[in-house]
Amino acid sequence: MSGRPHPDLVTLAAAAACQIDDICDRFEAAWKAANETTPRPVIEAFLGDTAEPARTPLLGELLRLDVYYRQRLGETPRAEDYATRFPSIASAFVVRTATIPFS
Amino acid sequence: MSSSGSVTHWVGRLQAGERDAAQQLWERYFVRLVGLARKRLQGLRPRAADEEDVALSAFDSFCRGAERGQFPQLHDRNNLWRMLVVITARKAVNLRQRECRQKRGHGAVLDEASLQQGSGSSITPGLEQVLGREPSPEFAASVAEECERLLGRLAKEDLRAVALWKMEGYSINEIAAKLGCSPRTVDRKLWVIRRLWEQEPLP
Repeated sequence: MSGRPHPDLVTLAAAAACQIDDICDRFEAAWKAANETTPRPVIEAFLGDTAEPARTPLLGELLRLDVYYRQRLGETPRAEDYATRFPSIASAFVVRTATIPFS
Repeated sequence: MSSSGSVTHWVGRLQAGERDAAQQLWERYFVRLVGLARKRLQGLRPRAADEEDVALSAFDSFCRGAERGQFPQLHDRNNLWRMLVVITARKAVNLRQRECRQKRGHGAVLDEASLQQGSGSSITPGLEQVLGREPSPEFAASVAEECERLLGRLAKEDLRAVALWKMEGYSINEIAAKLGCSPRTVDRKLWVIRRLWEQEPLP
């Protein structure tokens, strides 16, 4: 199993893929700006009202970024952290694949 | 070998006539040359040996040319990659044209052994002879234009940077370090680049 983006992203239209990329860039910038006085970004705020078919792959990408930056802070993200907030996505799968290193 | 300095070092040694430098460059670029040849050979019968022949011949031509000082502009990894791309693409085109002629003339695609058996005839020269041509300046220019056109379809600067670095052989982790982002972000941007290029209307 690879740590690739959500499978839906592969078949998404280019415009929607660019939209997801832009949102993820802003989410990552917010994570990098987070510190003791600046709060961490909240996935729900960046997911917003994005409609399908972009919504599910966007959620997958935001979740993976969230897992990545939490791990960099020494945390151990668990699937349960996300399962209740996002019941529509297989959070266990996402958390597991988010931890696979790239070569 | 991941730094630009390493490539520059081995290119310099190759141009100075040191053959072991070719081995270092070979190990770095051969896989990608095979991949490039495979794309250019799409539509023909899949034969791994052909793709490797194209890459092998391209690299051999490159090394011989570098030793003869034919590439004075060859001073860093960017120019090295560009040169390898052009030579490989040209050789793949030549092979494709050769195979099409074989199909029309004999109703079957001949393998390298068959071509060598017929190399005594002027009609069916060996594969080595077919692959022995160098890219013309016009073809090199057309390849460069195509690369520029594809990069021009990427509206965001970070997408263009990722595309170029990936073509130059940087790993996802190396590109992530350059951009100061997560490796997953680089992987996502590569998917976006592919989507943009795949959805390009056919000419």
